[in-house]
Amino acid sequence: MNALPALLLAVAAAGGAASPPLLPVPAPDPARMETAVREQVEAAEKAVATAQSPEAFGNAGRIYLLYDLLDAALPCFENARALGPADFRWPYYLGVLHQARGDFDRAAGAFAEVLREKPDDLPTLLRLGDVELLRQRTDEAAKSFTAALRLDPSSAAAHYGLGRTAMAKQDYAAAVEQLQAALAGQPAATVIHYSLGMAYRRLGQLDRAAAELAGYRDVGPGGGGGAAKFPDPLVDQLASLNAGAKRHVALATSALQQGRFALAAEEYRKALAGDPTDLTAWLNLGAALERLNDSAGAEEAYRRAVALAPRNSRARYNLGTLLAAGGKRQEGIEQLEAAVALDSGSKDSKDARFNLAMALAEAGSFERALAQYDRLLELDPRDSVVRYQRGMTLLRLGRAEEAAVELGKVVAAEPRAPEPRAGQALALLRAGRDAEARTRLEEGLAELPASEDLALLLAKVLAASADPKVRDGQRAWGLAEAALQPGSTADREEAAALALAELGRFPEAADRERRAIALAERAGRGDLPGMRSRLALYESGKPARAPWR
Amino acid sequence: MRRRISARLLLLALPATGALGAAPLSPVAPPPSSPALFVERAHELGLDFTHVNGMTGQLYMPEIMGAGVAVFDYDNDGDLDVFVVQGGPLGPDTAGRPRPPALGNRLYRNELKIGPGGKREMRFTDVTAAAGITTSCYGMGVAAGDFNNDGWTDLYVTGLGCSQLLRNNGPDSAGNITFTDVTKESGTANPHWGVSATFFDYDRDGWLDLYVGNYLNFSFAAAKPCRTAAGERDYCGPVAADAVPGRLFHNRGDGTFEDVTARSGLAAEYGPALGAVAADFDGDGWPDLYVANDETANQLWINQRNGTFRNVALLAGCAVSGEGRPQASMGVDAGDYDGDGDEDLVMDNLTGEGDTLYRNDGNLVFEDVSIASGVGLPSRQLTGFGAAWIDYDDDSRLDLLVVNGAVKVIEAQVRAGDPLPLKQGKQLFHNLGGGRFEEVTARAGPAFALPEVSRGAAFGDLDNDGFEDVVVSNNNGPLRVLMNDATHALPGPARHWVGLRLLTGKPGRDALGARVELERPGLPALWRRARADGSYASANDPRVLVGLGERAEIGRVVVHWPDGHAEEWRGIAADAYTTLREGTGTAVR
Repeated sequence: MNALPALLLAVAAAGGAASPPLLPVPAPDPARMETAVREQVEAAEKAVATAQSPEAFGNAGRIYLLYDLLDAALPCFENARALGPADFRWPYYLGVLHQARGDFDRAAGAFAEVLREKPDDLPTLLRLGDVELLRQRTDEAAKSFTAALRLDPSSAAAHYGLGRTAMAKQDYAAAVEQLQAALAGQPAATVIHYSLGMAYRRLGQLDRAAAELAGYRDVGPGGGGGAAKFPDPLVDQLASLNAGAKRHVALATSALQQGRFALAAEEYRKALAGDPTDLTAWLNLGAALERLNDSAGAEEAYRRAVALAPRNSRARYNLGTLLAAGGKRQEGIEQLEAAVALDSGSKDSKDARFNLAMALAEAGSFERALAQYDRLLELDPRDSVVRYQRGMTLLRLGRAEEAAVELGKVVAAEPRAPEPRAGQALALLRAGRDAEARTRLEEGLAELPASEDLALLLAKVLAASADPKVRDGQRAWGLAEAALQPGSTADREEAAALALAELGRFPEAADRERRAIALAERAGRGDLPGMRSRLALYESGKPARAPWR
Repeated sequence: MRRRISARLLLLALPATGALGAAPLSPVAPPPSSPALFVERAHELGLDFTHVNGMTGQLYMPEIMGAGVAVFDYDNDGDLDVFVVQGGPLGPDTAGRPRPPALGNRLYRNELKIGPGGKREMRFTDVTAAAGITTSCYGMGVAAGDFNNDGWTDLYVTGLGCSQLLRNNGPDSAGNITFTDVTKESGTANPHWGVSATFFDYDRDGWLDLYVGNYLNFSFAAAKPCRTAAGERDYCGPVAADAVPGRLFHNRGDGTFEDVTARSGLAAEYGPALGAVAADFDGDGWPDLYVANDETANQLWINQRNGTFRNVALLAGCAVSGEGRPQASMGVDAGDYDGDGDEDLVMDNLTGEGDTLYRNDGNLVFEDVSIASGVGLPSRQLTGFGAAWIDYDDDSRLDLLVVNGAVKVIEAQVRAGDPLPLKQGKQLFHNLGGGRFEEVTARAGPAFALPEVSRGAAFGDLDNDGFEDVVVSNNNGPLRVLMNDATHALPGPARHWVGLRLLTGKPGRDALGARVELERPGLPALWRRARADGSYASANDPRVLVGLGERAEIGRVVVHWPDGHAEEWRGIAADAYTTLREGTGTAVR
């Protein structure tokens, strides 16, 4: 088959005056290829030699492209285009190929050619936009992305492109708008968080920048590597042509990126049947099965990965996280500890440490959890989620004053989040600082009027504080009554019961408490002993005091 | 505020954007009539060194990663000598075996003579044996610095699972200058795969500390074959093994070091490090550290002035590319290319990624201007290693020189039967001012078009003519010496320059990290840094060489010493090297 280039030239020259001149194809060395690929490549080359048709050249080009044999793919697509000029696929593949080689001028030319035939082709518009952006032709890039958005107003890739274009034009406010729209369309796209972070940074909004960058690091499964993706049928089809050992891995990975987890799992299983030592495939199979809620299957896959590579921190991390979340907490903790010990500095390691801390806290090992949160804050003092969890752990340890300080820092950093405000108020209540708790809750509710958690906690404080100056039964009942409007929950009934008792309406309070108990029993959670003791108080005509203690 | 982070994927099989692997294009051949800016003269100068990577057909990853080279004045005779790192036999059965003497690191003494009228005669002599240089393992990189403040520059050699601190003993009673391996007693042994290292005085106590960047946890036993999409055997990438944290050694000042990696915070985050450069990136007078990691986020460690560092790279905008992608980040350098007085970063990457230029806008804000600067696109088809900011034409603006060599086999070279099909040309970018660069590789000389597997590159003025030269280490190939001939190749009036050797302490060592502010009448000041680090696995000329363009006038020269104080000098002559000793200038308040 090494004689093929000469053969091609000879055949083309003999094709008659009407035939366009064809380019020679440098045949790759088949000897080094795996057998299935070699046979596929040789069949494609034979078809070219026999048919000299655009389809034959195009097919050979696609196979070369699939296997990264770009030197050979290029003349194949050129020949296909020369022989079949009406077929938009060949200039499209040429554009993709030139784009991959970093030859953006020729890529732009090829995509423009496609658009002359198919002006409304979304993938071409998006690729042309990318290429124009790299050529620093920002107006042309914007035009292309805008045309794409007109075709698909929800296209995250088009918004992302427009966002990057705005960044290149240093219009950071416009960039934020576009990038937020992109992120809404593809929340798992890591790179959008990064661009958004950079835009906020340029706007001087460093807190928001830091929050976005934290999101950039946090995107995990299904993120497809974090790219902003778009449907690209001609390129996506290539994976199905793969005849090599990597075929199933390629198909599985493609399926995973598209969120088709069942197909991904199936293909990873096939890949693993051929190569059971493929650590990546075991890990990704486990992740796909997790997404399919097949915890047992995922656990088995991760265990195989750990057995294969006991010193691989990611395998330990995945297994530990799954076990800790699934009830096998102790073994999960051990695996996460191993993951942290194996890899103390990477992004994965931080996640492992965080999950370890969460699992320890859930297991009641608050001091050990606290130590892990401390370490995480040493690494990134701006991580509000970690600080919040640290504050709540301090609260569980009975260190209410420290918890109040810690959670206050989170409130300052994340003023729009209700949980730290509620946590801070609870810490103040536990510390006996009811008046301050009430003030903080009132401030929180003013900032976040739709937060039911804050409203109910404020109602409880107003109804049941040990400090008579803090109590306001009428206002407590108003808040509880409003919360009950959409329907009944245990927490709403509890708050109502406390308020009614404070107003001296004990039979109604007792009724509400009974409903709360029934709802809590049905849900299988809640402080049932505490609720029953409060019911007894109401039945004996007494209000409850400081139920948060 | 609850967050449970779930399983991590390893999406390695497909590129994230559907973009496919890029293939290299043919190197650009220079027009035959144009005079070359650089002339290759290794053989003529006596630098006949060939790197041996030990390849056996198993495609072990370490065999394509070495090696580095150092230019430094080991004998204090005023010219740069050359130390070259060697590879050697490589494989599971080579550990601990004695190495043939020919397969050791080499030291070459520069016998430069400058005659009347400036005529230069230069020749290098192999003094490895006489200098007592021993080689203990498969070498990777080298750092140069006078760790014991005796006025004689020492070397730290990194390697595959080993390292060597070679103390320069200075002249003995017979005048012979020798080195002693003091790795063990100094406490600087690094049993990992080290690549780039840098001496810098992070705590400003007057003693050079040492950072060693580590790459991967490689073992022959665990090495799995990697393949291309077509199933062909190929070299593995960095995901094939786990990264190993770099190490920071604090110099106690008594000839020993303490490993302060954990205490300093540097163990908290790491990746497979290939490049490292120390510089004051936030302008607070304290040296910071930038670590370039292979395909994972880079770190910008800001000195907290208390023995610890904080990584701010992500928010600073220099951890990943402007589009949020970690890059291969091999060679790296810091320098003020845009003349605004701060340290900008450049690093080179894998084929398909292009070189990355992070412009420092102050206040720890970096901007990826790779594309806008004109550097990003022309370098996309190449895989860069050694790289540096150099003002090759002495026009006062820092240009960029990059040496290349792929890490994934190039199909066309496979077809041609090349046993190491990773060869690529070198690149030269001319700084046009205004933040723009123009690729001038075609004018750089035939040596730039020659496809080689270039790795380390050390930059320095070998013949003391005021134009910076380059020594290039080629993997499994000959050493190249690219002598800068811009003074003859460039049209127009002669360019002027000034060379400064900055010495601190007594008897005086190169003040690595010191910054020079050079004022010129009617023109903006120029800022340069005394540095030996940067590039890839290599050590550069620690002297400061400043191109002045067509005007020779020099105003005040202010040196901002590493310990934080500044002194000024006036009346420094152009077109010559001058030594500035700390304490001999006029204090600047």
